Amino acid sequence: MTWRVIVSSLLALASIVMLAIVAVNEPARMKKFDEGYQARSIEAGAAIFHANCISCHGENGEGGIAPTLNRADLFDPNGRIKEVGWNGTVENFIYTTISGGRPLSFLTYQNNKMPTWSQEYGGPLRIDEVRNVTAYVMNYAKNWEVKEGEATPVPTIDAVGDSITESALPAGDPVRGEELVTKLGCLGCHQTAGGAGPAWFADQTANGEGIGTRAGNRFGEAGYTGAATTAEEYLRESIVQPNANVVNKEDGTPYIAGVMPQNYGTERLEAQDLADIIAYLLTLK
Amino acid sequence: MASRPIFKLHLPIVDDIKKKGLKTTLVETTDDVVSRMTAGLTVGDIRGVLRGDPAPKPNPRVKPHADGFWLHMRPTYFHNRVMSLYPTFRLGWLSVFFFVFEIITGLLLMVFYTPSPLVAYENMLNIMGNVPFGQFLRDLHKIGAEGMVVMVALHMLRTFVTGSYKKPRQFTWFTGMVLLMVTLFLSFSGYLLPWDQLSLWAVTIGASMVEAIPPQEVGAWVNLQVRGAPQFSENGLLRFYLLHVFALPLIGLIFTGVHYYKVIVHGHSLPPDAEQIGEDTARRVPVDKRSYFLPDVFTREMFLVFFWTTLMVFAVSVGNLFHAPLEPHANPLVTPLHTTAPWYFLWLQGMLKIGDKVLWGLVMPGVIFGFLFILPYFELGPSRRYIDRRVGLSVGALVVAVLSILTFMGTPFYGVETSAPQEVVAALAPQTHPGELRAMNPEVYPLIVGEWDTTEESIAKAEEISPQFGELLHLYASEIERYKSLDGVVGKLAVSEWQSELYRFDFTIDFVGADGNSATYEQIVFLHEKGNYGGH
Repeated sequence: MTWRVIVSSLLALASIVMLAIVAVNEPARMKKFDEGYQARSIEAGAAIFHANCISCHGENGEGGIAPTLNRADLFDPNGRIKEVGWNGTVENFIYTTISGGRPLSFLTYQNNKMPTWSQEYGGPLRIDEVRNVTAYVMNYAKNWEVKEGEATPVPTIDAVGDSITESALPAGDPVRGEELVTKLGCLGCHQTAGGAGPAWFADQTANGEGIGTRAGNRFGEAGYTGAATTAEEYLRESIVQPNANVVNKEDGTPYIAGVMPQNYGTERLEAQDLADIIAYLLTLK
Repeated sequence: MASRPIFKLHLPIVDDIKKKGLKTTLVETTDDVVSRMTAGLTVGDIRGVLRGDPAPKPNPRVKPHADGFWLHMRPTYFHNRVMSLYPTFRLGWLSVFFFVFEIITGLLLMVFYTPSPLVAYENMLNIMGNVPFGQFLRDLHKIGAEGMVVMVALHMLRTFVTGSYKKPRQFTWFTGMVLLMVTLFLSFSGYLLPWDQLSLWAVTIGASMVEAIPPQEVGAWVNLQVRGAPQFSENGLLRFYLLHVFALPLIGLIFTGVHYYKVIVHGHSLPPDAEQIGEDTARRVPVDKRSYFLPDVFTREMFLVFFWTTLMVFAVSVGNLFHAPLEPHANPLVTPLHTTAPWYFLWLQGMLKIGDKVLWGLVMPGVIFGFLFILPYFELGPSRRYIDRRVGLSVGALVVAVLSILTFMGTPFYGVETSAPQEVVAALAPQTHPGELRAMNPEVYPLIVGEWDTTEESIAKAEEISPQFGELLHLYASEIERYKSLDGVVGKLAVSEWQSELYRFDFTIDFVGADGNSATYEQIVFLHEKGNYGGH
């Protein structure tokens, strides 16, 4: 019996020591858990973003038919939120925008209204999922952190310009072109029949002609208002001057002018990018 | 005329101090207080108990049994033959110990929990990341729950093996069966509360069985009562919570009382060889075969308390052997690949894989449990001796073997068919636990940005950069080799830096589908450097 009393006492002592060790390590453990959870939240947000948002906002937040997310002024407290008169934090702004969507849109974004995403407002995502996406978008802020004494980083791009004849384009690579149209979110409008812009793919049109075939005919047709004389020029014009010639839908009614962003030539594409995209589009016969 | 005082303060202890001196008074007063609290034992008696002195005559150690609340529930003495580890193995006592342990840790966890799908998971994050000792408590509650299921099941098995369910203890067995069910459902209902993927889907598998009750209208109705809606949500979670913290513990406490009362009334069943066949002498313990509760039984029990508590504390703290899992937030729309029921219901999941849901999910479990409930009322063989119970013990052993096989059949290793490429990627980056990819040291991520595949050159190159990553590609290759349909297929993996500290892993497998057409399976996994999945 005595050994039981002695061993029990030792065990009690061991338990107390272990509790003390836990107590000492608790602050560090809790911090690590929070950090880990925040990181996993970004991972989960990335997956949700990939499944739902890239057709408009670009595969990695480059923007497309919806605003660029990977940009400095979105995370600048004196930037975008000031412009729209938002009184809360950037994080709240992003969370609220994802949750409730955007009932109004700028013409640049072709009047495409951002849908509501949170289940609170009739969308598909739970609140925690909206938080995950917010964490993912907020992680772009790290790309734009301004260090003491440094100027705000600005993306440098040698834009190709909106002329279709001024400079010749280099040789295009259709494989890279395909990557680019995915990244830029072009497919958000041009993938299927009935989208906001003409469908590119042959199987989505009534007469079975892809954009590559149509580009070769369009500039010769009656009613063409642009200046292109070759298929390449026609595609280049459609990208850098989207309003030069607005085609009709298959039912005969015109697509709405000004829906496609006007800044691909002036701000977003370099000469090589444009050449690659045109090369890719020409493969879609 | 003397005025009557309206208030008079009188401290008897002051008189005593004046009369007997300070020391004597303090000793006597302490003794008095202690013997009131222990319902009869003085300080000297307690020291005698702890020292192991033989009991004085008359024995003061029986007084707490007569006068005290707690010990009046315990017998004054036990039979010598039940004092050793055999035949009880202390399993019944340990079941109660774990039950009490769960009540204590559970009450503390209740402080930090709200049963609503909107906040339940957030409560878990709070417990894990914000409440000091939160993870510790949660781990203890979980390990205690596993321990309780094990102890209760073993206790039942032991009772069967020693034939202790036989007359006059039939009803004790019956209440024990009720307690077994309470234990299983307590553990099962607790599964849902964290509201993560594990809880939702493990409980969904279990609850889906009630849906099979024929006719269909009845099944649908019962299902609605259990889940509170066609799917688990606010109502279902609240129902399971109330079952878990209120209804089941209440039933458990009541039946523990009845069960233990019956144990005392009939006496602890002696080893089968200790008495003549057909005799039951447990109630009449001869004077020379008595072991008194104080001190012998009491010190044994206290020892078990310290032993098992320390063991569990060690496992969840310094030993780092056991942690309650926490998966991503519950999502009714996404069924993780290879969800399983809790381990003690895997045999049921195994039976469901055999065939018809009604027959194997309802009728068979009903027959098995029903059979166990009434076992002592039709198994009337008078002898408890092992030699006379060869048939019964063989059947028992067979049942244990069958349950083990069924448990294996319940795991994803048996009879689950999904697409081979999906299985391959799931082996590296599973949905139900971290797995090999996430266990990789995140410091490797920046080094391995680029394109990889399962060819030997690629693996060799990977090994040069990081042995851990080489190991991962190796596993990728060997997983592909496991499937005949993927003969000669090369698995690709592209790693890219996606955002600050966030990396993207693209798994691509080009293969020939069952229809003879070539197909591509793609899966993207995003991993953050600070994901803290452990394992490195």
